[in-house]
Amino acid sequence: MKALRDFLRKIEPSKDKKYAHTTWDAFYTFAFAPATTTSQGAHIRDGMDLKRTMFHVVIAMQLCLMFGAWNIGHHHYAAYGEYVGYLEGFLPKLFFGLIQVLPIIIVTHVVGLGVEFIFAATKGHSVEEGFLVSGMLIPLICPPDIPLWMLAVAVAFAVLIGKEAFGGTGMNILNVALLARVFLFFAYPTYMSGDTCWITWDTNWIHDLFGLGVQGLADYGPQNLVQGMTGATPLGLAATGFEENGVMVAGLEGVTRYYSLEQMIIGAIPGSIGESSKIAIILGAVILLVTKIADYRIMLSMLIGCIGMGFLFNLFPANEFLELPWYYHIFMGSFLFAMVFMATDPVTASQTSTGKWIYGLLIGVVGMIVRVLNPAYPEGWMLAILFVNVLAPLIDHYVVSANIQKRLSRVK
Amino acid sequence: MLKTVIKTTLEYLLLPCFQPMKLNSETILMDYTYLTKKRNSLKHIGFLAVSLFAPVATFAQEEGAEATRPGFIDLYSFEIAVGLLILFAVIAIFAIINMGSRLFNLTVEEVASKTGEDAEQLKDRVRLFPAIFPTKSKSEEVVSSGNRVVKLKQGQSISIDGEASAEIKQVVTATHSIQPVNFRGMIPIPKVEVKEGDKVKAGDVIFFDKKNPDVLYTSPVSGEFIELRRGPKRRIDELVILADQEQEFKDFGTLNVQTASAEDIKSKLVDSGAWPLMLQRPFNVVADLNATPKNIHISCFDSAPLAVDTTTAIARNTEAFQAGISALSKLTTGTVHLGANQDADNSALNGLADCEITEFKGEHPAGNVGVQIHHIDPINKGDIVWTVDPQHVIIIGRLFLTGKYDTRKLFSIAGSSLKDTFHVEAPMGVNLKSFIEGNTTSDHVRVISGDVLTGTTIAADGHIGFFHNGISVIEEGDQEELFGWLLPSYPRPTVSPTFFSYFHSGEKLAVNTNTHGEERAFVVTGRYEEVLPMDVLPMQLFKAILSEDFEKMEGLGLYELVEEDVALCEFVCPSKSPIQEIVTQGIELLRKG
Repeated sequence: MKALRDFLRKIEPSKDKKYAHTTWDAFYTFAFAPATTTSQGAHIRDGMDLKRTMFHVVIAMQLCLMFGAWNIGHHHYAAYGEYVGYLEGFLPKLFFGLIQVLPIIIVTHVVGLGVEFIFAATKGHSVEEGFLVSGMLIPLICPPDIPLWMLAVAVAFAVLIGKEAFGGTGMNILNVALLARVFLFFAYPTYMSGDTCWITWDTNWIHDLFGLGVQGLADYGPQNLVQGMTGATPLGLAATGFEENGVMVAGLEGVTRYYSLEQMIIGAIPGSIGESSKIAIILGAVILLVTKIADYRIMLSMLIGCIGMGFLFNLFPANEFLELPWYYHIFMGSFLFAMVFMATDPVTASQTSTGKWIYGLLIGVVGMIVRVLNPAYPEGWMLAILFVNVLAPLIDHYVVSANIQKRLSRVK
Repeated sequence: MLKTVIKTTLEYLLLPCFQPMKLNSETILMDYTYLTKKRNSLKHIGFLAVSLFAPVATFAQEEGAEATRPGFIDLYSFEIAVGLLILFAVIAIFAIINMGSRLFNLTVEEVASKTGEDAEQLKDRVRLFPAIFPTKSKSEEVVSSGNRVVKLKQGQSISIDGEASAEIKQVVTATHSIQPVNFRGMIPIPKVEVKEGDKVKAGDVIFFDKKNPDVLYTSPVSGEFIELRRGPKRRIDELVILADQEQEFKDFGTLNVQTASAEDIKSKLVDSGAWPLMLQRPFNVVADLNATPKNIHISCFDSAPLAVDTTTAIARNTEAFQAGISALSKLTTGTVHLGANQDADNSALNGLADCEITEFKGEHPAGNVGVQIHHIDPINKGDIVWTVDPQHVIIIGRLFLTGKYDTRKLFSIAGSSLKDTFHVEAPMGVNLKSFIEGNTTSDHVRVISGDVLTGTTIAADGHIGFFHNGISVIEEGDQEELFGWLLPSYPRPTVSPTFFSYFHSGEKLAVNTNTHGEERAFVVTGRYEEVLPMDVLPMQLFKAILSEDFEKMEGLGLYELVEEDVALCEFVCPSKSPIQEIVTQGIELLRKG
């Protein structure tokens, strides 16, 4: 420990070189909890700090990431009719997926942290930990086949415009990770939706180096699927469905023709990298709730909002999608991921306890409206959360006013 | 209410199950007719099981019917159903056994109360099942005194090693000081009435604030005025007096507080220098001579870590305490409110006249007078409330009983870096150097006048502040820690379940002054609310102060708060924000604006 510290101290750049020093400081405080002591106020402090808080969110996401990596591999092989069983070829699938995912994680961090470091140095404060979580969330909500340059542009946009323009960590109004995702969706819509983007069809050169993936079949492409394999997500099937004997099949039948509920819960379905396995997400939620890092109020009220709207749709079934049983909505698409990791972001959520209940409920309701009643886009949580992010300060404003009013009404 | 409903329901459902039990003690007579009457209710359990299980079964069936592509649930729906049923049955049996054990215990207690046997012994003799979740005996929950009880959910008591033991030591001779900086709003250079080398008696005027010349600050002891210590810009930091062996008191004359008028009481308090012992809310300033407070509040327990044993201090001086309360009750149009700790022995408080007692149950900051005011009779805009430390009430009481300004009170000498911890009885502003020197476990310690959450750092030979009741000595934490934020190398007090030490919350820990992280912007929400048992929105209030929004500061309740109430917020803050400093800033803004 002493040797490491001495070494790090030795290479410390002078404070005049602010970019170098900020970078060094970020890594140094990562390795060593600083020796700062309390100077005024409380003489003792809780062991919890922002690094630890953020890191526990990252830990909670690791299961989703690991499952996502396996899922990428599984669908790559299964699309060409190899290793169709879940446990067949487990290691090739996992490593295929990891090789696919790691560049995405690296690009996100290099671009995002790069922007953070530059801003921290320019503004003369230490690098804040906010991007630790965003940098892990962004890869998990991207399609596995995303071109890296698009990702880089999106991350740079989200961090610059979404966060740094508002003053950095703790000041942003919109969820940074979702902003990156929404940028990708609206800037490159042809890549980001439809049936083909959710499965890795081709191998890249690293895969080839290790001999992973289905070799020499690059020209197979989506048109050469094995029988019964589709890249469509359950939501796509439920909303638009598929044509069979000249009739469109959608809703519950459309979904269950290809996926069972159990498949959706386990998560072996095409989708964004981290949000397919509901089991992994629920375990992440348990970690966040037990450690009291995420707020249970937001999760619970969002769940209530989603279920309530699902019931309401079931009561007035105007089309097949509205008829879809309410519990399917919980396990389809990215609802759980959005609930556990996106809506609970403390910076962009409501900050008052009462506000959190309203905030979560609103997301649940708005998200279901976007998901079910919107003809263009079959997933609602990304847009719903961003929309309610904007409303969160308003919710807080009314909660604060109510508290002030309550205090005034005491005088009688 | 809910508890009763649940209990009755469970009893109704489960009691019949115990009829077949063969009781091996003759002392227990179960009411068989009652049981026979209720026997049929056993079928309700079956009904309960079916109604809980039905949705699962329906769900599985639907799955099987609808999915054309067989999945796990479709193929094995029957097996899953059976598995769930077995699981449910196991849980139900466990619950029945446990409930049985509890109800059996209740019966045993009832029998024991009739026959006069010891319930615990009887239980051991006739126990059927091991007690899994032992039932609390009813007597613990009953409040005996008849006082109003306020239960506080929020809060966090911090267990720190080195609590002061019950031993009380006396100071032989020491220097004492009175520090103008202890009083909020005092001008930096007050008018000093004595010169170095002067002899003073306890109660002789030392200085006064030129802006508020009627309030006198007098010497806590008799002796020689030896030093006037100045800080930056010639500010007067400390006025030091070397105490005599034999204390001489200036005689202010006794007064019967029962018959005396408010004016007499006031003038005696002012003349003797006991007036500044009373603080005024909002803002925690020395009480205004011309104001009449709505109420006067006294918190009779200190819930802060390593705090002084206030109960003992009161028990040793009940007569003076009563006299002080009676005197204070003359100064207000309202009531003198006492806050008591429900979990402690309040025998010294029972029977006190001229006051109302409210009992508080909860963790720190339940003992803070600000929190108690909020729950007894909150401060609204325009209200004036006075607060007095219970030990200061005793000093006031003594003044009326004996005519002397006798400032002896109990101080705790505590902290995880002390070898020997105890209480000391001494006049106010005492220098406790002799008790700390050689008593610390290391040289690198911080000596704090007051408690570790709100106190001020003093030198090892420094004097205790005017409003402080003890000294805490803890380790300086200026050590870097390899991955300390992730893998802590030693246990630390925390409210976060990410640490193992959270799950041993009763364990007494050695603490240090490390911040355990760097200062950051506000990110995490909801932490402050968990440790502030008041109906205020702390984070919004702090942000209003930082943005100097006067309307919001007032509206969100800054009148009700002082620094000590938000000390725990500062402790738990993951962003390491200087919360107490922010509140000080807000109070100064409101006071001047």
